[in-house]
Amino acid sequence: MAIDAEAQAISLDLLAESLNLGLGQVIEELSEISNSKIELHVPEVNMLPKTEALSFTSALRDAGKAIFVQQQFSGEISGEALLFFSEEESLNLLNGLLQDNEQALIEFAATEEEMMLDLTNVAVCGVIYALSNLLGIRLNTELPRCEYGHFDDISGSTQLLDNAEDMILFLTISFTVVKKNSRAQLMFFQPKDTLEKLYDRIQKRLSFG
Amino acid sequence: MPPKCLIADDSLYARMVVKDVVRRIYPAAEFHEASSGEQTLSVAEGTGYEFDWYLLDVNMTPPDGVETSKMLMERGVPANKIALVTGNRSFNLMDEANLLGVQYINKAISPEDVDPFMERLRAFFSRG
Repeated sequence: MAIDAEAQAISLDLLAESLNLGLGQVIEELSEISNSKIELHVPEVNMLPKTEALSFTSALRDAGKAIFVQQQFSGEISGEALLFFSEEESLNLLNGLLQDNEQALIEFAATEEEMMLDLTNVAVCGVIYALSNLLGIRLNTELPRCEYGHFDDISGSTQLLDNAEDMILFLTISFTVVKKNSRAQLMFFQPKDTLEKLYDRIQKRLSFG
Repeated sequence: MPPKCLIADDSLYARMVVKDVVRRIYPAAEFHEASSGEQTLSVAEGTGYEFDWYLLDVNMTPPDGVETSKMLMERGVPANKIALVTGNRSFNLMDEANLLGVQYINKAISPEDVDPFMERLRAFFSRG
């Protein structure tokens, strides 16, 4: 089945909206927990081959160490979500989320890595939940895997670059936490063989109204 | 006269859903669309602020829905014609909407939520 440009554009639009809704709720929860105002900016979604999408990570490579959380999902459609935070941005996020009375600047250590894993897990799960909710399908998530280090070391130790021709739903999210800018990059890896199922689901969803 | 409605959302899909649901309430409704705050202000000005309702997303290309509401009100649009239609469940945002006197309406987030969403819109339309 060929997917025409118009169908792809509206599909990406729907995905952006569903991811936006999912993240909006997650960020609101974080905002309440931390008693901080967090603003979510308009996300961007593109459909790219994995190799092209990964080239966007060059800024992360230059930024030094980063935290990567990978989460597999399966069900009617399957794929993988990958969330990137540079070390600096993840520390900005954690410091921004801490209550005033805890606001001694933190160093990146095992505890912080655990916190980031929890936070990113919540974010990725929230997005996957929103996607399954909007498309009316059941998606199962595996336990997330968290890595901390330089991008090239991480990518060398995972199957990140396998199946490089897989298409990626590439989502860039940025948000502001208490006057601190923190930027995250979230990628949805959608294997080619289930891409048509995803589009089919989206087309069905578009006719619900 | 059929009601005139300005729908502002950066998502084409979200605008489609809102239009479809409004049409279920008012089949003859007329629509104008905008995909950013700036475009909203431009369309509103270009049509002489003659809309019966302004349904604005919050998280869209600046100015966002809250700022756009304030600007519309500064230009004479009554607050009871404006609704923030959003997926954001923030208490801060609800407070801000209350303070401005504009309506806060949660978007439909699943197929099951379409009917409740229609009721939320119907309640807003009946305010005016």
